Amino acid sequence: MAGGARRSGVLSRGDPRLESLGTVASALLALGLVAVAVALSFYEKLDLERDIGVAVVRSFVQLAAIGYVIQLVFGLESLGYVLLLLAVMVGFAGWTSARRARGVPRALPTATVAIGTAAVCTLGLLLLLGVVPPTGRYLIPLGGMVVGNSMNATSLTLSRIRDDMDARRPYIEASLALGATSRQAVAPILKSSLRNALIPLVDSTKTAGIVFLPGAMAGMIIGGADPLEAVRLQMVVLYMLLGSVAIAAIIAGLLSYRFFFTSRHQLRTGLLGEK
Amino acid sequence: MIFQLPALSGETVEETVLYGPRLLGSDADVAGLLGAVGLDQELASRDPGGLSVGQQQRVSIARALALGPEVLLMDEPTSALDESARDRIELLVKDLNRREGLTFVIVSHDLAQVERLADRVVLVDAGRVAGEWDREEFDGGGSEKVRRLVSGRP
Repeated sequence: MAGGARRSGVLSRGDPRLESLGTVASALLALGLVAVAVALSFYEKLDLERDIGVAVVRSFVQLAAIGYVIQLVFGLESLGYVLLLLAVMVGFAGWTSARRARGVPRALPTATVAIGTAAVCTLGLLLLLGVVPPTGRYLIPLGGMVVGNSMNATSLTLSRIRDDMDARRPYIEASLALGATSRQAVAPILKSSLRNALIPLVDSTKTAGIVFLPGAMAGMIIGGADPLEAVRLQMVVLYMLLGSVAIAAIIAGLLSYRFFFTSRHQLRTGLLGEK
Repeated sequence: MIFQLPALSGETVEETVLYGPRLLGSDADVAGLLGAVGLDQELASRDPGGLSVGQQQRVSIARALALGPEVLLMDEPTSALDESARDRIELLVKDLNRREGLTFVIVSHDLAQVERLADRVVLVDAGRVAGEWDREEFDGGGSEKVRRLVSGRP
């Protein structure tokens, strides 16, 4: 422990004691709130105890691990490792999203391409325009947000397309019979899937600052940053997320609907449920 | 092609009927088409979801006719309809066949309907032709083989 920090007797920023408090004690205290959730689930028989338990353990292990990984990557001071870490994030997000999209053919490559393209486009643009410097300190957290939100949008798009293909199969077949191409026949489905995927973020963007303070801004303000500086970063983050979510959803939609049709615009009914 | 269920998309009947022609960048005479399938022209501006299933099936026939076909394929076109709606569709099929010279290929499990409508009957078993008759020769109710296949019971 550094001797200098002991002099004042008051905890100040950068004090190792504050850091250890920040990591261990407060996390344990917050865990007390999870106990409330578990107790509620238990008494109301919601059967969520197992899920909550798994989620808590997983998040603890993952967050602790990523903390060390990020520290390691910062220490290496090489953009290559930053990009590698981002690539791993994209791969994992694609895998998670593909698992959500059961019944969608070739979901893994579709989801990975959608999320990866969204990340490359938005982070690339921010770098090109000089909005953020090309360092891990910016790219890793921003990349995490882009990848996470794109993943959610991709999952929503893919699972909605699959469900709608099933539910609206007679309409698709009727359109095909009237001379529509597969793209024209699924146009209403694509539209509703994309809307569905974008609504959560559009709504949170609309209400940002009124209903809730978004994560990046909340974190900066708690961390002691100037609120106006926090707002500036949050705007960058929100617009970046809107862009990336739209890109991911559009690519996921445009890639995935094709696999439901043959090259001669016939619906592959074998992929759908029984009529 | 006419399906078992009408599956009408579009906000109005008019929009529904024009779906095919608009894909080709052309237009069609909606009033004439609705007249041809025996629907009131005031229905053109209605939401197709609000019509009876029998009316919806007529709209789906008008939608197919809008493309000016020579042959209409119908897959169990009346199996979702009640008797009076079924009779009206059958009359319409005969009428279009006589007046417009349209050829119909109708898939049906209803032997009485086959006898009412068909000039030529083809029995299909698991994708293969299992028998072929002219209307005069066809005696669906009398043939054990036909009854067994159509009823789906062994």
